[in-house]
Amino acid sequence: MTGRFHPRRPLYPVVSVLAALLTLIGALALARSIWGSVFVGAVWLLLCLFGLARLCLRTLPFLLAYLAGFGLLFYLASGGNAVFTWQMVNRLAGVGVAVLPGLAMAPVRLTRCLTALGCPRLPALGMLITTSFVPVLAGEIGRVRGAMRTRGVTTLWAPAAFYRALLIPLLVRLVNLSDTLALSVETRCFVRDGSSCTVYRPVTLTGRDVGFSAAFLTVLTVALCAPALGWAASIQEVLA
Amino acid sequence: MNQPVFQAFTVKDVVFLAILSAVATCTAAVMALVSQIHIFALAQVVTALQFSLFPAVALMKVRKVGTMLFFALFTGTVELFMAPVMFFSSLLAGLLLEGLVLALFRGYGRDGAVFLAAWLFIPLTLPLNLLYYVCFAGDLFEQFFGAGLQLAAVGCVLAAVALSALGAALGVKISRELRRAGVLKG
Repeated sequence: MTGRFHPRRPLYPVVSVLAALLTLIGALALARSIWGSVFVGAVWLLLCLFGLARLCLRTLPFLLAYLAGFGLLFYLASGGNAVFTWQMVNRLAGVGVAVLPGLAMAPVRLTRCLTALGCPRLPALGMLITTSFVPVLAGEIGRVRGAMRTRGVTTLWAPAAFYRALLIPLLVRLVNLSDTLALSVETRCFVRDGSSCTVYRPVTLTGRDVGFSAAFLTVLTVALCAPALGWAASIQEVLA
Repeated sequence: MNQPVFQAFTVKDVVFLAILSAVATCTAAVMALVSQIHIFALAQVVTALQFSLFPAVALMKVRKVGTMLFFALFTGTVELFMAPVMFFSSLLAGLLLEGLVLALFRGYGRDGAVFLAAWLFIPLTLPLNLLYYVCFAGDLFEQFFGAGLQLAAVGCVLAAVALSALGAALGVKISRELRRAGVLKG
């Protein structure tokens, strides 16, 4: 699903997940002050420095357009309240930057990491299928739509046509696909008990992951402690 | 013959649940467009139909205690990166539903249990979301229930509950049809 976003040297999956969560929490907690913007900007820079620069730069135009669009919307909806708009943009930027570590993480690396950490194998398998099934799904919908056109059904707005010509055939295809996929998994000797399995290409924690974690936690701690250290800067003061 | 309440999941069950979770998550992508419009339960309105129809189909095939929890976990995996609140509220809703169905029906053997679980999945996330906003995001709570938005919120809650019921009923109907056609085997 996100193959084109995967960097050559990705971060450790657990570090990616935690970084995404903490970015979101930090951005929400700091949204009311100027430190929210500083924190999100610093996290974006950290991601650039630790191997995700290509992804960060490729998604930057979309992120900026997203922030500008919704910022304008909030500015107009709040009757020209710039402080409120800035706070909302802080929150949105947090969401936008928190998505980046997830985009950069290949689902199979997460699964291998979870298996190596001793997580139950069935949920890990399900999570892998869920996150990597989207391209297959798009293909299936395309095939069903093609079959509809062949039979002369061109609109999906009629509920009967949607139900009979799209929903039912799609579900039939999904059931068949899941049977084939399950058979394929079983014939590859998948076992539910993780103790007797081997992890192909084990995912390990590297010095770079530790460095990223340390830098990330430093940024988060500084941003959270800034008001206590007397570095508080409210959005009102900056705008004034 | 009485079947045990707790049954082990097979690879086939988990694969089917994962595929349906992926479909539900994809069709709910529209939520991203409305997530920044601060009307309480609006996100649930646009996802209610999908998140009741697909769990209903899943439960009609995999009638085992824990199915709903697996569905919540798999859909939540994708949500975790976009809206962690939704991940935790989905997971909690899944857990609560498993408990409710166990207490009322002792499993998903009956179609009524399937309908109830599929119907209540999205409505149960509403109080959990509300609790989150009250506890952790007071200013967002004010925006959700600010001037003029209370009525919209009530309307959205009712619409979410109604759409969930429609989706669950549709899911049970489709599953029965597929079972008659020999496609959906338990």
